[in-house]
Amino acid sequence: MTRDEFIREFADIVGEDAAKLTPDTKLAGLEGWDSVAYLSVVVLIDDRLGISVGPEALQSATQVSDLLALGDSRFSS
Amino acid sequence: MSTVITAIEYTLGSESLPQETLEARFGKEAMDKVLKASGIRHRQVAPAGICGSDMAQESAERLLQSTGFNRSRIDLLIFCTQSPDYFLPTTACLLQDKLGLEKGCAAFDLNLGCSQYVYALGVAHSMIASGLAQHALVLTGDTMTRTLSPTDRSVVPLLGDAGSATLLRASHGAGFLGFEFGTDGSGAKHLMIPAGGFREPHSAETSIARTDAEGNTRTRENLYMNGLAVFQFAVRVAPEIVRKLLVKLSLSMEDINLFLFHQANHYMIDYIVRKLKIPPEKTHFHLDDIGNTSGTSMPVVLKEAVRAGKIKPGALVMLVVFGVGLSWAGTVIRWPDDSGGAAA
Repeated sequence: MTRDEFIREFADIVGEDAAKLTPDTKLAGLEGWDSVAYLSVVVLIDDRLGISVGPEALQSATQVSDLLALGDSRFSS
Repeated sequence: MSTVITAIEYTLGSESLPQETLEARFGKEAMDKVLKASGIRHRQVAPAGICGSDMAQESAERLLQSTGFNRSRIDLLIFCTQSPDYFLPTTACLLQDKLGLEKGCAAFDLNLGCSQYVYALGVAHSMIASGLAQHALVLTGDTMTRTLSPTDRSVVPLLGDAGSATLLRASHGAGFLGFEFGTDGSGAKHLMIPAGGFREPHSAETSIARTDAEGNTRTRENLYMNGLAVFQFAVRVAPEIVRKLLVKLSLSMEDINLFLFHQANHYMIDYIVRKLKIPPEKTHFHLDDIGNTSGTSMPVVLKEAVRAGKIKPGALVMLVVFGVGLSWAGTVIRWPDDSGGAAA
């Protein structure tokens, strides 16, 4: 999975237009960033990147780049 | 010697809590999201005045009626609950009397939540296999919905109330092949009712409702769940239980005919099933119309899987449970044939 694919799938989860999301986009400003979206991102990172994310790591994420950092070592180019 | 389940009955809370009621409380959009993630579209909850033990008792009476089993032969009663009738005495003692069981019957409560059923099966099995008991009645019953703040969207849409009864006896063939148990008390904070016990007794302070960052309002006497932490715990531990049981019993995934998981929510179980590459037909669900009924969810889905014809005589069935504690357990059962008297 590439970074762009991750952002596209994340956009689907939070109900946003992927083109409008950048690494600097603040998660708190996304209407769809709620507890259900949390779970979906956990599953996305585990399923597609094989990384089990702890609750603290996800809850401390503030912007899209923090989510990308969680899967950093496993993204394909 | 092993132990077989010879019958299961369950009783749901008699009051409906439909989606429309919660849409009016939390908004349609919010409830649509919860429905998509949980698969739960309806709940059955216990009306005021009904305790978990009442639903367990009703289940036991129906079981004794339908099987014709002589209640005087029951010499072990285990009642699993986290919503007992009283702080003391132990609710199982009250149930021994209400069910008219012999005074020679051992009776005690087992205080665990979603993992309770497999723990109780393990205790009953070990007591029967060692000759300490002959016939065990394992009861479950909880009214967890009564511990919820009605305005807490993180838990109200998910939970229901129920009770169950399971009868067990010794067997020389089929039955439990093995168990796996586990505990991580460091995760206790993720799923708890902080106040109202002896560590933090009820006070004016513990009754004050506060609103969290997600907009859910509750007091310290209400059930609190960190949904994300519990989800991550469950999707990590459930596959571990499966793998450990298979190794312990020298079995492969293909050997197991049916995998049943604690009916927490659809999204979680779907994910666990996908992670373990279990074909959809080798599991079973029964929560969409009743909610997560805590420890009773496993006897409910086991009974329903039997009813759906998914458990044939001789089949290997794996039960996997996990929840508050944090606590988890699993077992593999070789389902008895008809001569084993296991018509659940």
